[in-house]
Amino acid sequence: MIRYQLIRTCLIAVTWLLLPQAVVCAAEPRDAQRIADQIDSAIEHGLQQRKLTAVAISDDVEFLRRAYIDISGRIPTAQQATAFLENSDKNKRRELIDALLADKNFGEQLGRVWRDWIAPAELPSEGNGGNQPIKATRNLGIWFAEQFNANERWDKIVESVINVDGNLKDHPQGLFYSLVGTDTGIAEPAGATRAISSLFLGVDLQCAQCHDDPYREWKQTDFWGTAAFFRNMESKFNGRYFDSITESFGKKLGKGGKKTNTGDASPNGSISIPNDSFKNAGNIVPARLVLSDTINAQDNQALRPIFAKWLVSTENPYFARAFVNRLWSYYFARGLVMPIDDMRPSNAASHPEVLQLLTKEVIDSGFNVKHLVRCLVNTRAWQRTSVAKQDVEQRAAAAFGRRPVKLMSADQLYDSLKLALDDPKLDLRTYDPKESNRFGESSPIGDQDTEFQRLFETDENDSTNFTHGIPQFLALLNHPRVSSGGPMVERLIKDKTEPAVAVKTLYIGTLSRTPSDRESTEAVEYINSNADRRIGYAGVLWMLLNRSEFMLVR
Amino acid sequence: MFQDRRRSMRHCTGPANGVGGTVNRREVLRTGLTGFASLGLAELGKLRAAAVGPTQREKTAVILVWLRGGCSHLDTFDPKPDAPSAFRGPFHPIDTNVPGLNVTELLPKISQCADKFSLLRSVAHDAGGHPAGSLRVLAGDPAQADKTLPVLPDWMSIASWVRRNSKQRIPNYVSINPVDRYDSFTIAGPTYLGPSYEPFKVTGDPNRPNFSVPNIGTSDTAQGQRLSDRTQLKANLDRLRRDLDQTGMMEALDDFESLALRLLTSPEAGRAFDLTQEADAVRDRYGRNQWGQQCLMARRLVEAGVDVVTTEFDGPLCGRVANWDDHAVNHHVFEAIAHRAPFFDQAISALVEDVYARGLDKRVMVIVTGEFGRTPRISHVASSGGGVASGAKGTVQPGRDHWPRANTMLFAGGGIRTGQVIGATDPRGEDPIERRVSPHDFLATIYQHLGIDYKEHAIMNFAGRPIPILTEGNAIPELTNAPKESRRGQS
Repeated sequence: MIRYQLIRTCLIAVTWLLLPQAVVCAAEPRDAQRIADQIDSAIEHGLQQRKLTAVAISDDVEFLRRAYIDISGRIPTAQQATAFLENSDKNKRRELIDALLADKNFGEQLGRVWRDWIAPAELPSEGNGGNQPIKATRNLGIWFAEQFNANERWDKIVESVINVDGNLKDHPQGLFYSLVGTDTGIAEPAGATRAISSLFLGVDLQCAQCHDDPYREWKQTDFWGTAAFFRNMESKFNGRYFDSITESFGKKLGKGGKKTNTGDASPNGSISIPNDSFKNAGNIVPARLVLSDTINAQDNQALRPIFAKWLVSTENPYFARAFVNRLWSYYFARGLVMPIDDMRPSNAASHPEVLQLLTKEVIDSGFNVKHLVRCLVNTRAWQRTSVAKQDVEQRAAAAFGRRPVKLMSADQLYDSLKLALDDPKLDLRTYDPKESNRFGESSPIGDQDTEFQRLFETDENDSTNFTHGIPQFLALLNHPRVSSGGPMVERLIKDKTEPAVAVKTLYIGTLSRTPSDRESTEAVEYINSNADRRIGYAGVLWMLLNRSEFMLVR
Repeated sequence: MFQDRRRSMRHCTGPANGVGGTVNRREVLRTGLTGFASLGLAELGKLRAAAVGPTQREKTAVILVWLRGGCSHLDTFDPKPDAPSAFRGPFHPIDTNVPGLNVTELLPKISQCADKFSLLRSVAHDAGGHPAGSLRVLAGDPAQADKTLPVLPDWMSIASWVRRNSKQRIPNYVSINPVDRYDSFTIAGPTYLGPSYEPFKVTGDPNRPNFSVPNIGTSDTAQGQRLSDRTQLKANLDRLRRDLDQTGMMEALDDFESLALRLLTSPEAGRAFDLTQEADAVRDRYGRNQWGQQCLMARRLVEAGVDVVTTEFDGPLCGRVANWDDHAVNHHVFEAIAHRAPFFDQAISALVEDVYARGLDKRVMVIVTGEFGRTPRISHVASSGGGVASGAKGTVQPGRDHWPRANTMLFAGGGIRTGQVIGATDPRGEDPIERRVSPHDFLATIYQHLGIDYKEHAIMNFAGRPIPILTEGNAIPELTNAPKESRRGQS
């Protein structure tokens, strides 16, 4: 059996993985533009092969807005937009990218992206009658944000997630195991395996939980061999909330302690396939690193660190590739490999040379996250326009010859609305929680952030998927906090701003561009047709916020 | 993504190979289906051009009155006067205006319109928890265990999806006092159809004097004028920026937006939700309470063209725990049923009679049910707290527990033959002994009424795999509008 595994391993490794040899250099400054150019030539080559032509590079407005929303998670302010548009330096795009990567909003946004990949917002939080601890989940996103902003190495970040031991107060990343655990938030080997394989290895092992995957290379022993590393996890709860994670080794559980595989009598370093799995229930599977060897474990030896060490090591061919594909899929709205967590020999990348190049670059740069992002967004591919004729649009977008239009995530939309309305406490709830909760628990209303997330939730795996409908449009069209124009309009009134100037300010503060002459004339006429200037300004701002141009990321 | 509840919709799909070879639900939708579920931006534009609209039987509609928690069938629609006292309960059967059809004495008004409804007394399933039972009845989910979130879309959002129409002037699916949650569990939702197929939700008590529905047809003329001025401005300025969009995407978004704007500004949408348009006598007939006015709004909405209206009977009118879950720990089951019966009797009889009086009976089907019936054998357990219809904490009182093995549903309108009793339970009301039907048959019956081909229509799930709307179940022949009759009606 082991021999068979090894043969299979070798075959796969030889035929598929021409993995770049890891050469970990000292942190010399690396040239992101050089890598970006190499990406572009590969993509150009791919377009030629597909007989497609790339569309033009975006203009400054399109680039500016996209850079802010994708990298910083919100639109630029009027001042930021003006500064960029009026700058005539030919390096201003690169400089803006550097400035955005240096800003704390970079980490905040990428942290939210990882938070949603781990725990999609659609899982109802406790404020909405579910048991996802919303505050702790936000804290998990903030923890990721801090790591990204400190430019912590990706391998170190993941290691500290996998090995986390202790309470959430000191280790917010501990919530990971609860979020990917059982329905009730108890860390479990199977849930951890599904999540870690998808998020950090880029492979989809979940079919193999119950049987050998008939469509993919994975055996059921691949799944449970991985799960065996997570067999000793004990979750501690404080009341109904997950509070800490530790390794328990079959000791009696303390107060609030919960384990999922308490009935497993197999020795440490292995796991019994539980009864609820379809095939081979009761079989004991030794802990085995995916496509690698089994391990020898002592009785009370913690196994997660063994797994983590292998996971992030450069001998593991999956880790860096998975990270590249995930980040690429966020910035380009499509992975190099699709689905993004189904990387395997028989599911090739659309641009294998790009994947290989970036995988090598990630390793060579010491898992430098900002550097990778810098490589991606300095490409022409990322900076192409989204404007295109319908017939080329679809195919060219799939080959990265055109920028697809994305829908702002709930986070991006919320922060952008707050900026545009100058209303940091924006609350779009329609019903008073006290009023609607008086019937008991059937439909509780959560806090303003939670309810905004619920309403404007998007598809975390496909940002080109338009998920808004009538309720979402209604909320923006008719909520008094939007239609009144908020503090932004108050400020224009207080400053006695003239209509033409106000229109310009409002345009650039929402759409990050100045109005055309005709747009300006129309808007000024509208303002002048209202006796109350406040109503005129609020109407223009309402019109701007409700345009598809505002909520789409072009 | 990683919890079991979500995995269940993803697992074991075939490989999706390479660029362009990916199984893509949008792709299939674009070519194969009537409606459009959460589409990519580009596809939206294309579909719009194709003028996607409802299929046949456009005008049919369904009103579902949902008795959250499960109503005791023995004490309402399936009386068992000859059962032993450990089962029977204190309420006597009474005659109705249909010979041989009995209900309990708690329902005198309903008893006088029995010629306008049929009772289905033999619905049975095996999902005994509130969440699992609700998901079984509303979405046909086969799982017995409770789950915190649905994995299959319920029939309401499927209908909303199939019936989607960019020309509609009012949402096609409205939930008044929404059927959406049970404690910490979500019991209904569009799941993989996407959040745009959630109902338009109306919450709060429509019987309150100052009740109004936010975001619907403003009655304030100054505000209405302002909105229409703004809309004009927006239209003018949007036209100037068409160069941004040569893919038709913005136009597609405009469809949603203009529907939303129509809702905000159209007097007919405003009127549909405005109960003050009704004569006092009509409002009185439905009952000047939350449930009565919910039913009246439901009737107004189907008249205005809404396809699916759901409304939940719960809240203070139910008694201490605000739902129908009459375990002895919660309520004294008989006091509780007697407490809510007058409101229930009045609202349901008014709705049924009104649907016929207004000639809506062919087009609109009214259904009254909860997730299951209640245990025929009466239990005696200490109350966990005093309140309306419950003795002081510690008082031993009668209760009935969950009973998925038998339930009665009421059907009215829908062009069906009324005055019937379909199916029967044994003398204790424990199990069907005649015409046993499943929740899948119930769902098939609704789809048939709505003209949705539940056997042929398929929906792409999260993994891009086509899932038939129903994999089992057949419309209940006695509750469907016989094709012969409908042909005759049209000629």
